[in-house]
Amino acid sequence: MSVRRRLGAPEDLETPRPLPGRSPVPQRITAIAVTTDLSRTAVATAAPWFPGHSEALVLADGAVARLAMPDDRGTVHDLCFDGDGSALTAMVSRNSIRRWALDGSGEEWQLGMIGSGGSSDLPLAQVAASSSLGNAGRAAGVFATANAFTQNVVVRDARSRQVLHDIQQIFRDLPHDDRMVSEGTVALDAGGSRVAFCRPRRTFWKEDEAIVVQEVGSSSYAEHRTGIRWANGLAFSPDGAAVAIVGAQEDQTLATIIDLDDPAGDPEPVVLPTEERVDRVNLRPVWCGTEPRVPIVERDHVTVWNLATASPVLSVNVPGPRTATTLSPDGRTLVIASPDDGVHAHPLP
Amino acid sequence: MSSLDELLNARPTKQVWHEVCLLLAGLDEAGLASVTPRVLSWPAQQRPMPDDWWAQWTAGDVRPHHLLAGVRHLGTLHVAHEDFDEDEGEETGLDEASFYEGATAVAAPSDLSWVALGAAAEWHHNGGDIVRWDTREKDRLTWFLDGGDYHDEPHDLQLSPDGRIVITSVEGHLRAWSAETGDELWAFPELSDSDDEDEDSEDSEDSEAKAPSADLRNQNGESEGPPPDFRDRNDDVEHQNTDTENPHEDKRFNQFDLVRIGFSGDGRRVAFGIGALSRVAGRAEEEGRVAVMEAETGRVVLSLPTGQAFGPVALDANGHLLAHTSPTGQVVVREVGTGTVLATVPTQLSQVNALALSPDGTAVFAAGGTADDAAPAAELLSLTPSHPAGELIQPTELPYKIDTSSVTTCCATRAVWTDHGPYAFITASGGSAGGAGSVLFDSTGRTLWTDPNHQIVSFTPDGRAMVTVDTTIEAWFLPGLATPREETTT
Repeated sequence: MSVRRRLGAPEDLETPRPLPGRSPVPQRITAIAVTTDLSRTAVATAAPWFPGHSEALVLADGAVARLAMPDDRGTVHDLCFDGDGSALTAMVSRNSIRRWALDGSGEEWQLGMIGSGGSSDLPLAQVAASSSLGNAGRAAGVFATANAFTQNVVVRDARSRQVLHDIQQIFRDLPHDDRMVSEGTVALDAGGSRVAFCRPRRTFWKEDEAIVVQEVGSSSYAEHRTGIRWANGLAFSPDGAAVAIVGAQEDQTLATIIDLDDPAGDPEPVVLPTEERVDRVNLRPVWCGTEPRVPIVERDHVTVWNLATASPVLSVNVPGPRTATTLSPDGRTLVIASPDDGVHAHPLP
Repeated sequence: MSSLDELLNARPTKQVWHEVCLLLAGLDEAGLASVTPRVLSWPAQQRPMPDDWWAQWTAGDVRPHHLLAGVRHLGTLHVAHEDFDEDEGEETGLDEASFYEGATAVAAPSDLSWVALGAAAEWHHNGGDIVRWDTREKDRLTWFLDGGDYHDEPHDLQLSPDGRIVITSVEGHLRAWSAETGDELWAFPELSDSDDEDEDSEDSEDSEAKAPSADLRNQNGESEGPPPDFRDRNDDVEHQNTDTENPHEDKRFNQFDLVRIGFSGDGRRVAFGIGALSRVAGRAEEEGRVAVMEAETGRVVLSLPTGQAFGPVALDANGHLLAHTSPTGQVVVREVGTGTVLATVPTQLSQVNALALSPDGTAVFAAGGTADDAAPAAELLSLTPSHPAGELIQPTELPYKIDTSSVTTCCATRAVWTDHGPYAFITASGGSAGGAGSVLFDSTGRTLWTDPNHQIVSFTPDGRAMVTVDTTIEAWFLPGLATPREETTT
């Protein structure tokens, strides 16, 4: 049994402005992120009876900082700290991006994903940040965003907001059926110089699902078949030589490791013995050294899976399915947020 | 076990509330009175009625400690594109009816053992199902109207206080059913073969096609000539203003009219009114009409000529007094037996969307919106001879703007007069600029409950509960929503 550490109390997650007659307790936690040293934890909450439906907050040193959220009744689908923890980016429903500088200026950005699409509330929307600062001559890091609504992937400079990479723009001259689109997943390598995303099948019958890897700012690309029908998330290995992918097909949850140095390799997904196939939700694999891991929430527990062996690393009971979970960027700690139980860190073996 | 004092000082959780309930059930009257303010200081949503209290309540065995519960979750509608699932996988027994587009009307008896629900129409192919759903044996549905048999949706579903008769208006007809069996008791105007043909017509989505003159044919089935006034069904009663030429005689009672319905306290009579009073931009709505009928048979006992009265309507405890709105922006109270006007009271509201008569017939509570910004407001109107002007009552602590100018507000606003005084419920679906939300407030302007969404509600006849329907169905207990005054003001 792991010894858990409390990062936040249940009351920290309550809205400070409950409506008359209504509970201050969120109905569910929609997203969570944590820094490597666990000094900061970001949590997004939601309830249909909250004034703006959603709230975002940062827990640090026993204090709760509540972040401004526009009253647009959107849901935060994903949260990600910059590599140094100095800023936080949120993917919000209705094609919106929010970014908060947590040190210094406290500057807020409100951006939109470039492009348009179908249903504005598809839950697959991800943000990834480079884990180190100053690559390729840039003073700050970069962050990448993707969502199922636009099927676009956009990489921005974290300081200047300049768009460095936009796959809709890059592939606009290709025939429609050959254009690269994202399912809503995205990953950056440690230095922020390469971006990867999962591309769905080009046609229903052609089993050519793949990840696409590009140098940021470049139009060239490499494709690697995954053998996974619907991808939920992916992550570069620390040395950038491999990408771990988790997803689903039919009634199974699948994972695979792609060797980027072997473009002709056949995909060999493994089956994660989850109770049910994962739905079309964000999953965030993290590498712990050479071991890719991902936490998956099921009805009454969270399991951290080793994606290489399809074996559980740790399973923790949780009070109900309305929790959110993440791994620390080094993959050594599982963090769970629950409306009833607060936020806790569980060290992993 | 912790003491009640310790428990009430703890953070409200399901577990703590469960223990509180066990202790509350054992308190005598004085003990309950002493802890009531502290219990009510917990948010009502965190005081769910436990199963054993619920079983007693629905069996008619209401005990004093039950009134400290805040809410009872009744069920979930499986609505399309719903982002918030109240209880994943919950089986409510409602799936036999279609609530794909949500609900438009609800009614509930005082014991809350069932609710009548009207579904939103799926306009491209059918109307909204209207059913009775048992809140205890949740797989029991009684059908009033199958959405496949008509092309409309109910917006005011009312239940007689004794729980025997359910009435609504769809496709230009009032329809009354036995709540117990679902058998239709009457329709007004009477349904005819042509109505059925209209339902089957490929052109039935055309508004003109759905408002045939047959909708107003009299009880003899006469459909030639101009539509008859409601007096055709009521030759033996006196009428107010019958000597006044009716300039609106050719107006149709069609499915796009806003029809509001109100029972008398004894359930013997039911009033309906068509149209809503609006003095926005200085123009009064002039297209409504009002009548009072016997609830059991649908026989008209009072009919007011068009242009004289509008919905909403309210009857008093025994159905002798009728309150309605007039085109001159006033609230009018009449004697039902003769139609005689007893009082005419001006109102400061720019819209009057719901009325409630006091049990003693000396006051009317009107709910609607203000002229300046269409904000929720109400007015308590005295019917005493001096007719002192009522103060405009606006809910305090409203954290967001609710725009009452929408049609949904006209249909869904409710007023009720309980043993603890009158309450107003106002809701709006909002537009592109926002303005969605719901609020329940009392005659002092105290906000008792709010929600950022448009909600469909019904007060129970005894005024002890309010059933709300959005994607979930909840019963909120009005005594349990009464936050102690000192808590509200601090």
